[in-house]
Amino acid sequence: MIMKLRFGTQSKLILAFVSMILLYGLVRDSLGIEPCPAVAETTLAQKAAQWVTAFQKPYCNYLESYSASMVKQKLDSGIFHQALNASQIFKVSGAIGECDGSSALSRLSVRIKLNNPTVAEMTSAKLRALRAGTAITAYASGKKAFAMASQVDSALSGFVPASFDFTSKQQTQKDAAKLTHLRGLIQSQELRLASLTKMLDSLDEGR
Amino acid sequence: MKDKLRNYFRTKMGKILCAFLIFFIVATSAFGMAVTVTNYQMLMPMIQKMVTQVITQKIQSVWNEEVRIKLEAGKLNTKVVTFLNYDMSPAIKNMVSDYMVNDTGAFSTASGKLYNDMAKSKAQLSLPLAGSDFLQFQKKAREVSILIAGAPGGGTAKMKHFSTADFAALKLRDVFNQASVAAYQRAAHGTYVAEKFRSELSAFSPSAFDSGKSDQAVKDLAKLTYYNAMLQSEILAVISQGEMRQALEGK
Repeated sequence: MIMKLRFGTQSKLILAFVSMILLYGLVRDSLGIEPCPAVAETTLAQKAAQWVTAFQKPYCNYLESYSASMVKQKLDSGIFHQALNASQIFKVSGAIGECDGSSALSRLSVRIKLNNPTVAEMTSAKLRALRAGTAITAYASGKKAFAMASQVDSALSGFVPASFDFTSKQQTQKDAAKLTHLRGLIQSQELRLASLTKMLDSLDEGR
Repeated sequence: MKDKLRNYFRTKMGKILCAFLIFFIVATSAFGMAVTVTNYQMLMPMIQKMVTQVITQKIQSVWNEEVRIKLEAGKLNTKVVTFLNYDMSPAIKNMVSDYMVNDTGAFSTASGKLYNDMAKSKAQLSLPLAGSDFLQFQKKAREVSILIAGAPGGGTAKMKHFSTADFAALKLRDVFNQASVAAYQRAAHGTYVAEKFRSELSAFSPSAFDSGKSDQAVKDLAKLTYYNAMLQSEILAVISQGEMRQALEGK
């Protein structure tokens, strides 16, 4: 009997204690208070870290692979390989045809021998010599430029411009730069020849 | 054995142990439930914030790299391209507007010493060489220009009996001589610029574009287009000056 009474009291005490704890949790929950801050923060941080890793990994991987593929595209070589050979054609030492004109002029100027020449006669003779020297320079430059044009023509003849339709924008940009470079070199010869022709014209006595 | 265990739970110690066991089971379950359910509202914004931060950082780093690539200089070194630095325009202007007006021409009463010295000089004749030093080149072009310009006419004193047509012809000849000098000097400048352009630009290998990035190639393309435009403008100047001279020639 005594045992029964003692057991009943203890059970009631335990039941009351458990009920109090559960009631305490219920009250905190209904008031919006965190149940166990220390445990909750750690758990939340762990959970958040797991979720963040789960989200960030695929997205960051995508960004990285996208960025890498973009850089790779930028580094792709152009298809206009003929540009190198074509530009090499313009690599010559000294101005084209200049030696021919200069040496011809020095030979001609030695031959200018006039007995008691007037100033006008001397000028005329010198201008004639200068004209001959310039003409020889222009001829030699023209000859060399024509040879260059033929070489450039044959270097570029194998290239099909429609190939650009099958390349990326980045490759086309590189090839456009190569073509502009080559075009500049060709135009420089055009300028040189036009200039020599006009120099030659200017040495004419005219009016 | 069973009775032994039952008897043990009937003891004070057994009951206390049972109570503690029940307490821990209930407390653990309460805490577990609370973390999983109650803090879910707090968990989501926290995760959202962290994910956004990480992704933003990643986007920023990728973008920074992209910007760095975009800001990389081109392969064509503009410091070695000097053909634009050589300008004979002031020299041409001086020659045409100063020398041709004051020291030579039909209306000039100058002594013409410079012209006489140049004509009588026994020094070896030479062309202005495009590959030479620029000052030397300018000097040679000027010497030839003095010869083209001719001797001073001596002024209007000699033109007492000139008709209107004679005056017109005289003036046209003067203008033609000026145009000849201007055309010669401009053309000489053209040869110098053309040679500089060729020697400087041919030293650059176009295969450099392939080893670089396309962003760099676009920058170089713009530079080259600019240089080509300058070259074309020089071609236009040379041709137009020459054509003006030819028009005055009356052929």
